[in-house]
Amino acid sequence: MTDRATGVVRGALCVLTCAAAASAQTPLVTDIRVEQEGQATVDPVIDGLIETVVGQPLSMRAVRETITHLTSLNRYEDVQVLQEPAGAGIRLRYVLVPLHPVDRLELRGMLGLPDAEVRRVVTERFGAAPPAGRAGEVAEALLALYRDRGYPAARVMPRVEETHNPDRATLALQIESGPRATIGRLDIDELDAADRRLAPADIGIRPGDAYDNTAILQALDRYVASLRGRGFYETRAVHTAVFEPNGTATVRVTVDRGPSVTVAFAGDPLPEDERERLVPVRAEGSADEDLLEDADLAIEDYLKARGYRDAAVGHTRAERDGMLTITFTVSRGTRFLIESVTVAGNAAVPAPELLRLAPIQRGQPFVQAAAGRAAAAMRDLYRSRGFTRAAVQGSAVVIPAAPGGAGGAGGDRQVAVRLTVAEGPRTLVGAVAFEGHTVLTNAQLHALMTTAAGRPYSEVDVAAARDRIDVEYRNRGYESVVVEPDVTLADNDTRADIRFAIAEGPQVIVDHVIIIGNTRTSIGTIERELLLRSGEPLGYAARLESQQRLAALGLFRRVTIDELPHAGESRRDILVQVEEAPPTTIGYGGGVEGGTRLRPTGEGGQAEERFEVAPRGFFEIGRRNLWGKNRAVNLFGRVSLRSRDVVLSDSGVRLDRPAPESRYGFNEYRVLATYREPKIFSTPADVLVTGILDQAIRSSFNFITREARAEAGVRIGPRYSLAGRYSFEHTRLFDERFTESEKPLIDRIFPQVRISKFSVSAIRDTRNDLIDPDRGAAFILDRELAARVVGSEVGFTRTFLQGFGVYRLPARRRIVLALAARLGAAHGFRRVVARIGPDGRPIAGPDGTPIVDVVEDLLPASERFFAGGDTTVRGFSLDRLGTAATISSTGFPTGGNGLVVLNAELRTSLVGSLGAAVFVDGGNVFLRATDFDFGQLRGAAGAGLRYRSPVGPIRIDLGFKLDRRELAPGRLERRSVLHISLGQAF
Amino acid sequence: MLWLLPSPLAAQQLLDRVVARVDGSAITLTDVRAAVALGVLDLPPEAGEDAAAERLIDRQLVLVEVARFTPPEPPPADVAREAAAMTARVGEGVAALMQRTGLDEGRVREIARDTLRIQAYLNQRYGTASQLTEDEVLQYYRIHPEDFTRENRLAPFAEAEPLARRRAAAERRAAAVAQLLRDLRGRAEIVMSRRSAVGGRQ
Repeated sequence: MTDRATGVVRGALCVLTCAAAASAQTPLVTDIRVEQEGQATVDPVIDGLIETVVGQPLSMRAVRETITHLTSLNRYEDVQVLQEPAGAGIRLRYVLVPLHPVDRLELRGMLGLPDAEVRRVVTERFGAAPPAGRAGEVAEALLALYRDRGYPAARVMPRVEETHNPDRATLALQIESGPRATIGRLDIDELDAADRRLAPADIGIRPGDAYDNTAILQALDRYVASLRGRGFYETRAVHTAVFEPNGTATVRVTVDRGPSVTVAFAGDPLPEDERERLVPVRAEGSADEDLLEDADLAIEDYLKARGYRDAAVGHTRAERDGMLTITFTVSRGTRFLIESVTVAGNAAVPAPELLRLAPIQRGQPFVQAAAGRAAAAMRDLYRSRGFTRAAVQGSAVVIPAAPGGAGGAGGDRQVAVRLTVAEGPRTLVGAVAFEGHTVLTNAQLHALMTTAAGRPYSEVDVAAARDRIDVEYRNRGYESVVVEPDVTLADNDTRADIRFAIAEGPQVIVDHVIIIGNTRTSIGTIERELLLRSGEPLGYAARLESQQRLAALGLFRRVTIDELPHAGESRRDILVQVEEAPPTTIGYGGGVEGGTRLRPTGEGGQAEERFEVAPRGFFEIGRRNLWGKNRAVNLFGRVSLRSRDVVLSDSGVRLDRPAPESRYGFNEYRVLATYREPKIFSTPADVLVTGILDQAIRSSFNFITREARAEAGVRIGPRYSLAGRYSFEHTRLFDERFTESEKPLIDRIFPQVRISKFSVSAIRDTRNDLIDPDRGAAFILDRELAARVVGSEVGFTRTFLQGFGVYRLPARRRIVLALAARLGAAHGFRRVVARIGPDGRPIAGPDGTPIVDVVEDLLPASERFFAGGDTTVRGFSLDRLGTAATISSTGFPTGGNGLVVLNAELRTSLVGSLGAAVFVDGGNVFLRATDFDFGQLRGAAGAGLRYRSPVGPIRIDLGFKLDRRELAPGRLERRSVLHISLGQAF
Repeated sequence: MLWLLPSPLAAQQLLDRVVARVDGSAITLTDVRAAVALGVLDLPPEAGEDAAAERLIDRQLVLVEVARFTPPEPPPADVAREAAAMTARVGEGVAALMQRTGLDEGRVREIARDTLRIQAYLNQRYGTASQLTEDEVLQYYRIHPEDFTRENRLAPFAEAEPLARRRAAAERRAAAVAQLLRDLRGRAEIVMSRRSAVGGRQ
């Protein structure tokens, strides 16, 4: 700052300081009153925005800020502040004049035109509720409409009518259309003397008709189109209209038919099916010179892209007797094919690496532009590696034709493409320096750098570093920061010193955070998601993330966060406007599930695979944002119409056969009630309490479960989440298909099992879409522990590890490779169980003491692993997989403690929403986790169709077993299994 | 300047109010009065506060545009000089102005910075005199001979060229700025408070 300027500023500051002395004379505020439409009003939001304080001297700055805050609410058109004597000081009166936004449009009077048409014109230009301030423009737009439609004397008088409680306004348009003009006279001028005389009927406009500009334009368009269809591509027809005092309109139509245009081609041939595209005279309805010159170039480009390097095209116009013949003369010349592509002059980058960048290959037509792109790509690579002066020159050398030969097939010639690199010196970054920074330290700025001393210099790196500095400052509230990099090359361009000049500008601070629009949601719930707080910098990222977090609450239909400048740029009010979603949600739906399942058939109840279709439906009702704290309750019910298998007696005889083989009914259902408490105890964790009633039909048994569960989950960044849960459940099995000999070791000991268990889940998910991803990976670890000390009847530990990866392959069509691996291992704790007789009582030994079995490493059926079906190994029916140890003698799976499932699938799009997939699946279920054996994995391969529906992919898969075995003695497995389902398999 | 010295005995006195809203941002009566007193607005001497309010709306619209394009940050010394020039225009009445309008030193500096940023933006967008061609300068010279006539003698073009270039550039810039303002006003929602009697006592 110069001495003179400093002196002046000091003088000004003195004056400002003197203002403090004057404040001694300012009156004391003894009372504050807020009024709206003549009434005192009490509103906590408004009270919180008033900066003036009772008991303190009047501050005009506080008055101004209060006005700014109140205006920020978007509720007031005017805020007037008045002072009046009160006691020993003054009373401040804030008079709020509410905004009356227009929410209705009323059309009154004699419209003449349909109400819907007038509204449409207004809505298209000004929206459904035009601002009151644009009422005049609305009237002008309607006058233009009426004039166009033949009402030259129409009058439109806008009027804004305010209503109260709520404060709204109606834009009333009083319209007097007046009489409609008719076409009194029609004059037709034909510019081409050779034209025959046109009659009104020829152009579809008749005297006596009501005047309608749009109708006249349409008639002329039709007339022009009909002529163009006959080759008169240059036809023009325009009109003017004059409204006469007698209420008629005189319409003058000027027609220039122009010549009949014929397009001809001479010289070398062009494919017939390309001519219309390359010479769009008919499509454009024009034969003007610009279009013809463009057509010359288009033909040349077309030929050059096919190797005709020297292609030349010109056109001529010949007009005679009203006929215009446009002749394109094509000289395509010799076709050049690439014989070789070589790189020379490169030392720092190997030739194969450079050639990979070149979109040209041996055998392709030689295209000069492609060679140029190759040279540019190579140059860019060099520059990214510090060769700031690198240049790549492309040349094509025509190889002489072999003696006596034409040089190639059909007279083609070969060219050798040579890309010559002049690398120049390599520039390394010498020093990186900063100036003008006061907020960030040198160390902080260096940490943002994408380059450093000693690294190759790259303009791209410098630009990236500048952007990172810029964003860092903006995140700290310096929204007008300017970062200018300055690069100085030295030592024969082998060194680049980079200096970033930073003009930080003022820091913007959040003044007030004003939240409006919430009626049920508490301010605290909204504030908890906001990263912008009063007195803190207004950061760019914080604002974006705040908006995302509020939207993610699911409580609002719409969330906007606006900055409201006031008293300069250094402070902003933040206006958070929310529109709450309905608190109650109801959903219902239905569908059909199809799949192959195991069914007991024959006298022995042996397993047979059978395709079944099960109609299903669901109903859901939820209430969110309870007590304004984003708590939610939800009730979900799902039911399937499914057959329930017959029950076998101990000897394998059917006890119940009301239908030939099974009976249909609502045998599978699930009722789920949840309560969600977000951010419990002000921690980041959400808690979910769930009650479940579940009856399901499985291959080897059916079960009904009652479960209560409490779960706490927390997201750790965008990719990780962690959950812990406790569940208490009681499961009852019925319709077991285990043989009597299998029962003692399996579910006789768990006929009515009570399980109390703790579990944890850790998830890392980077997939870009939950329903149909094409990039990313997910890893999920679930670990469960059930123990008798916490009330469980059985004790076990269970681990389930899942990994998924999806990769989009580099192809023009969307092709996605999806891989999955799932591993499960469980171990049941040792336990002594009394043997139970058919009468349900313990069996006593000879000494009268109960006979007991020592059970180890067994789990209740509901906790065991099963595999096979549409989401695991698709050549098998649901739960069908198993080794000899986990398949009963009748062919039903009994589940096991070890599981392996591996999947690979290639998904591709076909047409529109239709896609296809091919897959290979493998896996098996083992009695114990330690029994795992790769040799016992069972494989399946198949293909399927996908339809991308609004609710996710609808999937049809047909899987084939790679090795077909006996399902039960004497009964082979089916070769293939069809699955119809929703969502991807994994 | 009577509004600067209201009578403490007045029964009811208007302290401030919203004069206009520009895309939701308020322009207050004290904004208008402070801008007039500090000479921020280029107003003819006889202009009233309504005209000043219109100019302040224009300034607000341009500032929004400036924020979108971020011209170079003015050096602090230039901001201080501009702020000093503004307060110097008010003279001894600065203290009273501050008290009446709620301005403070920081706000004066912000207004000064805004002024410099607007100038930088307009220079950046509409260029300077050097961008005029010789023909354009000559055309201005021919259309406005009165500007170059002294003592009934029209100065030769070679002599008048520097002045003609400045005047032609200023004319072109004024036209361009006027068009910019028309465009900005067309896109903005501007609501003038209906109680349009700006200022005055009640």
